[in-house]
Amino acid sequence: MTHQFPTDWPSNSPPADTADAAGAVFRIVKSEPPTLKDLETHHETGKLPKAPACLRCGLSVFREIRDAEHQRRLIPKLGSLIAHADLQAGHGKTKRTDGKQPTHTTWWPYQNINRASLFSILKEEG
Amino acid sequence: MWNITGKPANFSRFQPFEPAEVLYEFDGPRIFTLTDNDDELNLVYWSDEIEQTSRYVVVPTTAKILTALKKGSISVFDALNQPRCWLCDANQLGELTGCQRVEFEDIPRDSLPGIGTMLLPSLEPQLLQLEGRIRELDKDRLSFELREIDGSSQTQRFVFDEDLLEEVFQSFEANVRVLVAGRTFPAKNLAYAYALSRSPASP
Repeated sequence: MTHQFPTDWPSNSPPADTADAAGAVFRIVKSEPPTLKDLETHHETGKLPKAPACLRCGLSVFREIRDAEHQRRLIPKLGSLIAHADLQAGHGKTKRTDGKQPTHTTWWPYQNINRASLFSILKEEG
Repeated sequence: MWNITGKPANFSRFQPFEPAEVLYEFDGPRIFTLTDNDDELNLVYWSDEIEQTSRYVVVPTTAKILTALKKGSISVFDALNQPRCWLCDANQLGELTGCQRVEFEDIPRDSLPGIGTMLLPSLEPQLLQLEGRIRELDKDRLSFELREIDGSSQTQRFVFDEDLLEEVFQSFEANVRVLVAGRTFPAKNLAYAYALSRSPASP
């Protein structure tokens, strides 16, 4: 099966220095189970059109659960649930876009990937 | 989206509503600084959204507050808790559509950062448990240094509350090994001790 990115993405998206998606990622969501609405890119929603076009096509995720737990306390309105996925090469490309946040990663998903089905909600202990 | 009573404000002072420095980013800037038309520095926090509108908390800030925020000396909530405060709504183009002057205390708690939450995970206090001997007890400043820490040649300075003073003093006088439970403050190389017990194998 050939994986492709959406044809309406800018030509520099994803950037050339991305790698095949691989490994665990975490993201705060609002719904259980997660829905596509929890996993939409700005390119899809039309938000922040002045932001870098390349990044607008990707989705922010964390590599460590600690960062997601912190974000849930920092910005409660983003959601109260931590979703987890194990990404594989067939799911798209990723790149560390950490800046000040150590494990912040941008994931550019391939077209026709059912993103929501990849994620499951982590159950809280106790 | 939630509404609170405020005083409509002229939002032209905050335009263009563009970050001067992004402090926390996730699917776009969530916490950032903004220089207004009076050249005043403001701290901006993404608070909520509904459909095509994002709501931001905007407060005047200072370079000193921002330094403390970035170092982990103060939490995001404390940095936002200022006498003057605005709620500003922006459309999905990132352009302001309205602002109102509000009281910070009136903003719903779940639309603000949790109390004590630092800007970045690396700035969050970490729980620690160390075993060693108490040295350099300062009863006036309520601090001591823990030395001869198991498995380490390092020492750790602790501060503590007055109700722990007697236990600390007795352990210091008896020169016994103690187990100290506390929290770190990354910015200061200092930890807060909240519990202390004699080690089972002491002295």
